[in-house]
Amino acid sequence: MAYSVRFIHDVFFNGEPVDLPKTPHEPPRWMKVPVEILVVLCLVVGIAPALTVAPLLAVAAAATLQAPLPAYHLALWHGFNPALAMSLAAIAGGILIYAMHRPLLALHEHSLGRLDARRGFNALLEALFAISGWITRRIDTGSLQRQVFLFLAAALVLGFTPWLDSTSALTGSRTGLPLDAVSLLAGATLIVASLATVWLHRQRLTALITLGVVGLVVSLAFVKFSAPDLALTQLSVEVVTIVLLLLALYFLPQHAAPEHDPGRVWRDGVIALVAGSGAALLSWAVMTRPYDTIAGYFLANSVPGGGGKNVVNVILVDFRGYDTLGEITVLALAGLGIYALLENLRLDAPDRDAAGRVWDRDAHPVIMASLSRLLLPLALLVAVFILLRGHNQPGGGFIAGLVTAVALIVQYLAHGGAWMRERLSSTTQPLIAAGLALATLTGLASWAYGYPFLTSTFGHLNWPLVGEFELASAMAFDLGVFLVVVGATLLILVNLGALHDSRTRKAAR
Amino acid sequence: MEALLALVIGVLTASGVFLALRGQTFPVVLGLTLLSYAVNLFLFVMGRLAIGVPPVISSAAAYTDPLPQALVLTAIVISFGMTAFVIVLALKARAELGNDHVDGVHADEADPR
Amino acid sequence: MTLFLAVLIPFVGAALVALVSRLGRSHSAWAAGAVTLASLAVLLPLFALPFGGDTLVQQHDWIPALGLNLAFRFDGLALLFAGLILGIGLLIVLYARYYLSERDSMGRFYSYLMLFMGSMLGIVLSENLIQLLIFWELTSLSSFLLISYWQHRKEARQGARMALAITGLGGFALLGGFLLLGHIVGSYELSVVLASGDLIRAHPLYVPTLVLVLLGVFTKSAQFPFHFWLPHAMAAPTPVSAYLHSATMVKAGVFLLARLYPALSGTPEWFWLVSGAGLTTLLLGAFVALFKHDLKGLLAYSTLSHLGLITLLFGLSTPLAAVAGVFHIINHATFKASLFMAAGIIDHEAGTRDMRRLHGLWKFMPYTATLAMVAAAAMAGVPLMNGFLSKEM
Repeated sequence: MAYSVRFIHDVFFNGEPVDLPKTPHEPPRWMKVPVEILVVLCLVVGIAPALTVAPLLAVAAAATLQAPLPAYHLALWHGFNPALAMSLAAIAGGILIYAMHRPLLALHEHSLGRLDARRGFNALLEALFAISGWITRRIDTGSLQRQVFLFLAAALVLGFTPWLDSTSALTGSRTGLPLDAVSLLAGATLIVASLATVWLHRQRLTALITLGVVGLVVSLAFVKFSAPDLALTQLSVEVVTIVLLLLALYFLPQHAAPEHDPGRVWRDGVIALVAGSGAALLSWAVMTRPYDTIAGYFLANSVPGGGGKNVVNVILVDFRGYDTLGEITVLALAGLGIYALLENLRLDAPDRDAAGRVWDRDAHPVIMASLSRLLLPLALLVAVFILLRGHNQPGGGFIAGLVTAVALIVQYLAHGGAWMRERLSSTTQPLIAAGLALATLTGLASWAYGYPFLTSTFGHLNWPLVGEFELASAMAFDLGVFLVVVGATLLILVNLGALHDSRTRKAAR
Repeated sequence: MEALLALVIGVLTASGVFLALRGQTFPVVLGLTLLSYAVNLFLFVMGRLAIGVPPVISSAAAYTDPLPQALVLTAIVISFGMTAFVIVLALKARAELGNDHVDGVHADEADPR
Repeated sequence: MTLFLAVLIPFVGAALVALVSRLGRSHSAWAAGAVTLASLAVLLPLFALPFGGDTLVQQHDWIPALGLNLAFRFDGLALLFAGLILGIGLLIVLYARYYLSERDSMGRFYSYLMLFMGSMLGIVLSENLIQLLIFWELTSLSSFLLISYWQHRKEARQGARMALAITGLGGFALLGGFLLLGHIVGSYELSVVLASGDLIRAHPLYVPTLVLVLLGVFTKSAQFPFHFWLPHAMAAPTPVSAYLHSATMVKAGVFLLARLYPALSGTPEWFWLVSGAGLTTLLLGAFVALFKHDLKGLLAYSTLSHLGLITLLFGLSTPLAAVAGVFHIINHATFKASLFMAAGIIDHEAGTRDMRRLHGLWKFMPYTATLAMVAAAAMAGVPLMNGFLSKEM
């Protein structure tokens, strides 16, 4: 209609161009081809609709209506009917409007042309930002310490409210296990170490050591109460965590100033006591009650359904594989996030310890270096062993991954980052990617066989020499878990350690 | 035995909460680690205590509940990831802000709001 | 598996295109073309199905326990749109190869374009409403990336933000609408939803459902009063305007109108809301287009006006009008994409899009001028062109 006329007349005719930035000429050949094709389509459809577009239109319209099509007729010439007259009138009207569009344009510039929906939109957007900013400032004072306090206090209030009108007894009817002396001793150690961590938290290295004691006793507790998988995991995580915290501690003040505000210590102490007693009472109440578990399903189906005897591992890689996939993704993200955070990080580190003594120049003692080199193949062998037997015996991808990571980290500790860099690439991102891809592909593979995502299968193979060997698709998944755990753990620790290395080298120069 | 475990969980929780409320980053990380021990143990004991009956299918007559164990196993690994992330955040904050307070300022420097 | 593969190919292709762009500038264009052809080739064997009156539904179990499945549907409407998306997409890939200048990163452009193509295919081939919504949001996101392709330009960033805010808002409303639909019908499968039109229309929640779904449709298809993002989205490179903002993405809204037509249409509320918005947009777009000095601005407002026409046709709720609406979708895609590409050529060759300065280009580029004139004539509804036919109906 009118604007089409304007487009053609204004652009291609209507006098000479007014100071164009460059002289136009025909565009490259292939740039016109797409336009040509479409224009030819326009013409073909326009001239012979029944031959070209009619079938396509019929099926598309039928799918739209989900009903029989109405009678219609596609043709160029319908005869002189009102529709044709209207079309012609519209074209004539369009040309007429264009002919007098200059005065209209002038009128428009002074009236409606000033309206701009963008202004309204932007004003609305600014107002929304202002309101949300105001609400945020009401709630958030910018102090994390305060937020944590409010959060914990709210959690305590919510946690204790239901107890107020509860009439049932605290202690349930389940008979407990008898207490033995070793457990008592371990428990006492744990409690003392835990309290020591709190008491000594300003002497940070000491606090870290007591924290390690807590972790070790926790893993002993897992051994005691029939959870060998957990004990292995806890043990290796403990090692990794302590190494990590030690590395970080290097860049943080070794000692902290005492609290300014004794009132705050008392306040926090009360909160902590309330939270602790709440947790203790709740655990007691739960542990002394008989319970009904869904574990029977897992125990019954582990061997026939998942092909593994270690139920914990079968749950991880098979029954609840979806969760595990999510968890290794989280771990991978944490690793990559840390890598990004450490990029371009500049930190001043002290060249002497808190008491003013210069760090020992002999960074890599010979005995430790030689011993750790001997240990590496053994440790890797153990890792492979744990990975392979994980489906039937305590072990699996998580633990094997951690053991491998620990074995390699010991090399870093014994020889230093520079020595290791000559032998092993410190970019473990491909490892993480491969692990995630393997785990996801294992899941997707079940689609190819028409099963839901992450359905696992297994079979038994008779290998020469080894004898009967079970092969489950869950093992590929577990291998993915293994790769992600190794990759992420190494990525975190090696990069933090590299930060450390570049400091020492600078100090040595 | 149950009472001992309950006491241990309580002490771990109390220590963790107290440290998590400190102003410097390092004690907060220690506190979070202690809290995650407490939470892991708490989740673990939801399957009740049992000695000498690991959930590995054999000729044994009874097994302990494997489900809490599977949940706790991943929780341990995830909490390691979280601890690592938090401690590196603390390092980053120290690099950017020049101190190790959780709010980026020392309590005495903070403007009263 | 076939339909899933057709949707998956462009997504995988997006990464592939970005990777091969390191090899050279033309490589990514070739790769993008190959990806489009591959997706087309996967679909091609199925093209005969709808003509035989069949609807193909393919389902893959995802989390069967939660009733979440990947489900794809191939019928006449999906055939039409998939053909448009891939066919015009192929032409755009070719065109953009010559349109982008030396300074523009080819890999990034084609990667975004493939991402968009996959999302758009996902919309038209979806059988599950929730899955459709996910692809719907993906088109909003990839459109944001494509509009802001020239990141150094302020109007590109602003236009992209506006488009994302408006379409994102619409997507949110649409989610509400779909959840209500699922609640009423008891299933998110399109086959079930489409078959239970009477149940939906009689339900007390019909009006809120309709309003929420229409909010999604109107924001995506730039219907009044959400029309204003489309002209600002013209800050995108012209191939993007031709592809997203005339031929495909803005048609997603219209597509949904067509898709849910059996389920929602035929009530007074539908009539007043849909045809009212359509008519307003039709008149407003035509009126404003007349006064635009920017070549692409003019085309943008004329797109608004044509989208308004299509919406109006669906709003009339008579079968004949709906057929005409579908027909106009085809015609508009062909002539408007060619006009945008012609405008891009003019911009590319003359260095400006200001119609107060562009005059008398016939002398310099008679061939392009002829092409553009034919397309414009089709748009105006001159006899012998396809635009005439759909206006006639």
